[in-house]
Amino acid sequence: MSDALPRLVNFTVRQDRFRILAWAVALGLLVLATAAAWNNLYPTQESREAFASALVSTPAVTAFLGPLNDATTVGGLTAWRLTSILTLVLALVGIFLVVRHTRTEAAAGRTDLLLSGQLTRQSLPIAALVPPLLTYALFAVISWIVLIGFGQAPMGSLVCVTAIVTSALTFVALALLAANVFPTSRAASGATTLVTAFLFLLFVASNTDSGVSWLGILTPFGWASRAGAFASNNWWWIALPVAVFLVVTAGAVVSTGRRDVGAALIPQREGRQSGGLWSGSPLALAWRVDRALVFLWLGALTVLAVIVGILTKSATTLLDSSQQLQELVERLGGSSNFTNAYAVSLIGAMSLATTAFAITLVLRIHDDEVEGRTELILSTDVSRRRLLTARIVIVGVSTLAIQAAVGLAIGVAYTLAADAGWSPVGNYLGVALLNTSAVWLMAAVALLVAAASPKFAWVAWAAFAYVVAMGELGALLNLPTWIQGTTPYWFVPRWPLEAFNLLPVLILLLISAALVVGAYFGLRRREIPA
Amino acid sequence: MIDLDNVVKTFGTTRALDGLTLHVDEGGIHGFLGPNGAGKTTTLRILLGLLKPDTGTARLFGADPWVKPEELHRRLAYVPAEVSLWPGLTGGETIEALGRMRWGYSPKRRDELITQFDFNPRTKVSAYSKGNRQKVALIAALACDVDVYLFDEPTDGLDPLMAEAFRECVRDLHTRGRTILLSSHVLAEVDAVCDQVTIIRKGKVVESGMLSDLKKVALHTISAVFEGDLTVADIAGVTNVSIVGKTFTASVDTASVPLVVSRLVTANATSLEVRPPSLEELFLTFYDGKSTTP
Repeated sequence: MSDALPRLVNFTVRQDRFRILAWAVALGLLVLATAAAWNNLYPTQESREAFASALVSTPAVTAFLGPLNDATTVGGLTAWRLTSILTLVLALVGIFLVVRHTRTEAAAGRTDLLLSGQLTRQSLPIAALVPPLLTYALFAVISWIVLIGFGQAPMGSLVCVTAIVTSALTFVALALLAANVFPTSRAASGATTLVTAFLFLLFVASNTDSGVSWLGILTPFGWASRAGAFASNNWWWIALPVAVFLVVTAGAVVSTGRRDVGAALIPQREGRQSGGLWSGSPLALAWRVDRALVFLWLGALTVLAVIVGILTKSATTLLDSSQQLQELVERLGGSSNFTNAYAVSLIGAMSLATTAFAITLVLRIHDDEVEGRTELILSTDVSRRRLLTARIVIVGVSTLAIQAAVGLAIGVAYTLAADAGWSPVGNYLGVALLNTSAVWLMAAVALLVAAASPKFAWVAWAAFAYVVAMGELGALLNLPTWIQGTTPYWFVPRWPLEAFNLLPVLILLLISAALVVGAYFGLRRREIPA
Repeated sequence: MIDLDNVVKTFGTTRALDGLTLHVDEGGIHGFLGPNGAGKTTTLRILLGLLKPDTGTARLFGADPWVKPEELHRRLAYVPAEVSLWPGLTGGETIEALGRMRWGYSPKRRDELITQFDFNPRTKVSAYSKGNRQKVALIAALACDVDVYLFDEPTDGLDPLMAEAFRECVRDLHTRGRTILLSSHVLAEVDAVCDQVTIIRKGKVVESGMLSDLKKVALHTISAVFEGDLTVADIAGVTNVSIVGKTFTASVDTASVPLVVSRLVTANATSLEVRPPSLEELFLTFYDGKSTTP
């Protein structure tokens, strides 16, 4: 065995050192900003408890976050606000990192290269665990220090960060297993992501009603919540995911050792020889390549929208029963229409998810160029202009369809749940469509960099991260309007809370159009590959 | 058909093409030889209008490919050196997509080629080996009836049987009057199908012409056993002379071969062998930059 495994670990970490650092620091900063926001908004224990008693007992608010275990401290509020979200994000990061070093390597044939040396077959899955473990450890240390820095109890802070990272670890183990089972990296990470999404939705469901709260025991998100940071500080709910991680990982490692190198439990299926394209156009090819991703996002976001619609109803029920909450909402949103405020803000949040999808889809044109596929297409009769047009049509239509589906699903689910008449359907569809203008602008930014200057394709994701951070924290940190106004979402009219105003939407569309024109010019003038 | 004149192309500080000139006539079948990194792919990308020459002119069918490449592409098909495909599609779907985006695509011809290349079109692209990905690009190109075919190291990754199948296709295209530019670093492959050859090194043409003429340039090896007296020191173009006892070997250029042979005959040679340059020797002569040609 000698020193081969440590060298492999070293090699693996070297490949990912920037990713590890970037994720740990970025998510640590999120903890910092959130704690700072609570500190600003509710500096005294009385104000925190008043907030808690008013807002957090409504399923509409707690569904995605879980119950509030401790309302007395800034740490407790931070843990409540971030635990499920951070578990989700860290789980996705971990899944991506693990699959990258297992199935992706095997599919590319690099595993053979590594195993022709001194390594054992089992060393590959073990080494693949190191990048996510390092990311989690680094994040936990940063966040722990941040929480202590805000004067929070060291033990509660430790439970908070440990609960988050250990729950996320279960998904890392699942990803390792999936990399054994599925023949391609896309199938492996896709399947694990679907399981993660299902378990998250199970957690959301468990929070909607006390009668079904036992469902939370079945999901790592529920375990992290039950650890009760700053309140019960229950380490058993932290030991559970660790045990699951160890068992599943051991299974995956043993199974890797027993099988042929690179073999998957589910072999690659054969497909059809032809007929997948309706014509010999770049649009037909793009649709054939992208349709799986489009349907996946359409389905996932529609399901989420149905849940949001049902939750919107419970928000209303609670509002009717609580005078105090009504006052609070008046103060927070400046609106008497709490149902609409809730739906509008969640449709806004889901538009961010659509934006992530749109950027992924836009940047496929960049992936194609890097991989040499663009060169192949452009050697045919297809012009650069047509290639770009195909991409724009795919992204434009699929984002519009997803936004429409989200708006309709929320509206219909709310109407059926609340028996409220059909006017919300039109309203929420309208809200979702208004938000599409901001989605398109972000997609147009991605299109411009990918077409004109592929070296800067990362700018598209940086812009997205900026917009998300601004949306999450801009209002909480009370940033000045001119800073908050640097994101397109800020300009989307908050109709029906405010008057219907089409002008800002038209301006967003005009800017998007200008960016698209810039993309055409950028791609026309440059060399490929750049 | 294909005319490149004094083309210079730099990437940063690297001079990929350094005054390259290349002409391929209609119906010609032209080998484009050079070691890795000589500038073959860059040349083809300029012809496709993907890259723009710094100086010099590139003409395809008499037009500048940078201006309206897609119109010129109606008359050509291209096979890149590094074939990367869409992982979610099958080989058959990819061939269909690429073929239908070109002119002159024939599904019937495609089916023949799939049989000829012993190719399974139902497998997902992500499961293909390099050779099979190469077959996808080759079948998609060869299934189109166009005027010009550009191949960039097309048999890289193919087994010898499939490489021979490819050569047959190329010969067939040639008899039907199509123009072919075949880039390769394997001389034997170019030798097997091409009549004209251009050899480049570090972005410059080191030799261009008929393959048979090029072979004259490299040195013959003469070895003999003789009994009488022998001097060859006064003959020009004789190098690496070794006379050990009564055994003689030397490298001799084509022009001096008769004179050396006549001396050996005079010296009562009991055995005499004149070996023309092998392809490998020819190759090395041009590749190592010590070409003796004017």
